[in-house]
Amino acid sequence: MVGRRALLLGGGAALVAAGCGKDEVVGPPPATQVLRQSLGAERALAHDLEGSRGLNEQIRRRALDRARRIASALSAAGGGPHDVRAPDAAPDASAAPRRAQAALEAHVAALPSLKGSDRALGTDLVTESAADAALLGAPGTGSAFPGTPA
Amino acid sequence: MRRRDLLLGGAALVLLRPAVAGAATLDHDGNVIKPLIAREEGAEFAYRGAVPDGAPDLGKNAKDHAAALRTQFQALGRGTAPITTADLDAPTRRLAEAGTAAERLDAAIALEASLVADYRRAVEQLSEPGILQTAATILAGHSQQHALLRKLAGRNPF
Repeated sequence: MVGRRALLLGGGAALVAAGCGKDEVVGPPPATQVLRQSLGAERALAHDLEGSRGLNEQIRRRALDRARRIASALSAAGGGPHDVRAPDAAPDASAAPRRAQAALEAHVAALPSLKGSDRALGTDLVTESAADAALLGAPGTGSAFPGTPA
Repeated sequence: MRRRDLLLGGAALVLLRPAVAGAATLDHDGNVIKPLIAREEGAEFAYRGAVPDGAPDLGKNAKDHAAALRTQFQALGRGTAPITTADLDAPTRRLAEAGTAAERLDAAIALEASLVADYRRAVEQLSEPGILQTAATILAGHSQQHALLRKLAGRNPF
């Protein structure tokens, strides 16, 4: 059953979509912008897992590999990957689950901006980071829609 | 705000954004998600009483996935009949027919792997942002389930 709130939301969306005069279409943000966000999220995750062992070390290496692939795509798109840095703070493994969740959300949010080979990369990023987030016990693990942008 | 509200709001936008996504694009996206609805309905059926010990409620997740995709499919002005047991795909049938706990776990891992593969193909093909992000979060869910089930089975989760 559709609740009153949902109807209001749908109605509000209709008003927004109908616009107030101009037929301007707001597209997704540029690929360079979303790739920078994805890159920052992966570098932050890898940073917080520095010095870890076992499964967490495997996940750190996977995050670094994803960061490398994102940086390559960002360079190809004309962005500057080198000024996207990991946090200055000391590594904090207890923050890794939250970092992993943030990375997954960034990758999901990036998809509408990514076309062609970048979309294939984005699909890899969602698939791989979701598994890592689950293994770290990130918030939302086990739910039906993990990675829904907050 | 609940996810259902978001989905309904998103479905309203799908209907009201012909300038953003043309009719051909929306038709194409509908064709991409239609078989996924059937796959999720099959998974929901197969997981009844067959969720491996220690795993999340995978049957409920499959039901939620089917409902979310069906909402968006209907927002495109299209409909599809629920599947019957005769329509079950091979990985789903294998889980439904698994006799022991070990067989169920093996079959669930194979089913989740096949769902990850199908959603990966879908995410690479979809255009409408709302449908794309719904499919992407479902892909994330199946990827998580696949990794957790492999860990549960004592295998390399990757």
